[in-house]
Amino acid sequence: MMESGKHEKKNIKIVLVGQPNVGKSMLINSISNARMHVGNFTGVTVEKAEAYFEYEGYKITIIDLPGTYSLNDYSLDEKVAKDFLLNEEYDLIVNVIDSTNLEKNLLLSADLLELDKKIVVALNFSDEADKEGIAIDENILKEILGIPCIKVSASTKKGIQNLLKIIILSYQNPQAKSKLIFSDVIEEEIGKITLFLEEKNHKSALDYRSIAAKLLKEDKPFFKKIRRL
Amino acid sequence: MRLDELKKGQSAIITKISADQTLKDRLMSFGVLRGSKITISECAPAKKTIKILVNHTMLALRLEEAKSIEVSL
Repeated sequence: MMESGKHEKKNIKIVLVGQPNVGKSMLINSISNARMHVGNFTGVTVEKAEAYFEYEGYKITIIDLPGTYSLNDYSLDEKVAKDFLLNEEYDLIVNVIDSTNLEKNLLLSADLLELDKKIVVALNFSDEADKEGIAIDENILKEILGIPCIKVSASTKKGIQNLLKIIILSYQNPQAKSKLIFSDVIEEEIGKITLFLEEKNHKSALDYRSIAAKLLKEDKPFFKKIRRL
Repeated sequence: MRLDELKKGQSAIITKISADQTLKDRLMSFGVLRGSKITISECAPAKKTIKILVNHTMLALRLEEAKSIEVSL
């Protein structure tokens, strides 16, 4: 599980996730100088697209997923995004957020935190937010979410170098513990299930907390998985 | 009362959403949650569709969908 300090592995696979129209494809273009199709309307990326580039000795692959409002499979492109995040191998998630609509965008971030993967938040359109008088404190947001948050602007390339630096750092360091906390009622039930699993000395690659959360969420793929065991 | 009973320009707090799970999840991903403040910003002719504002998100709802959302003024 621990990948810290292992410098022999030089390939990093990053997956870009965000709600529709937050500038994911544009961000990839800014980072890697690729020429992905960008449009001023939602649903431009229906299938996953990839870009490659090198940075400080790392070979980096970025995967662009279709925009999704949450990790439910409501539409086909949302299903593409969800299936990839759950089933494919990757090192790190970059959650792209529209700084001008932080609250709505964070709903997806909450879903992503449940995945228990390394996540870096890219606060895109930060120049637009400045213009609209929206001030976001990256440090406080980082405190609350427990994951690094970096202001970027895909159009002016501001913050892109910093984002890359943080991506590499997160890759090298062990994963931070999830700060996702549910309401009191849910937390109580999570506690009960965790205790039960501890008593039974249940063996699983997932930690007990994630198992409890998945069970309470009535997560269908997870139920299928445990039934097969 | 239900969301479809509100008039244009009125605001209310969501108290209950009794939609099926799919719609519930969908609404949730836009921030339409219990406790959120909701404002009717436009009504289509014959009130078949309404435009609502939740936080900073603007959404269009079918009146049928609005009926599953309970609100209090």
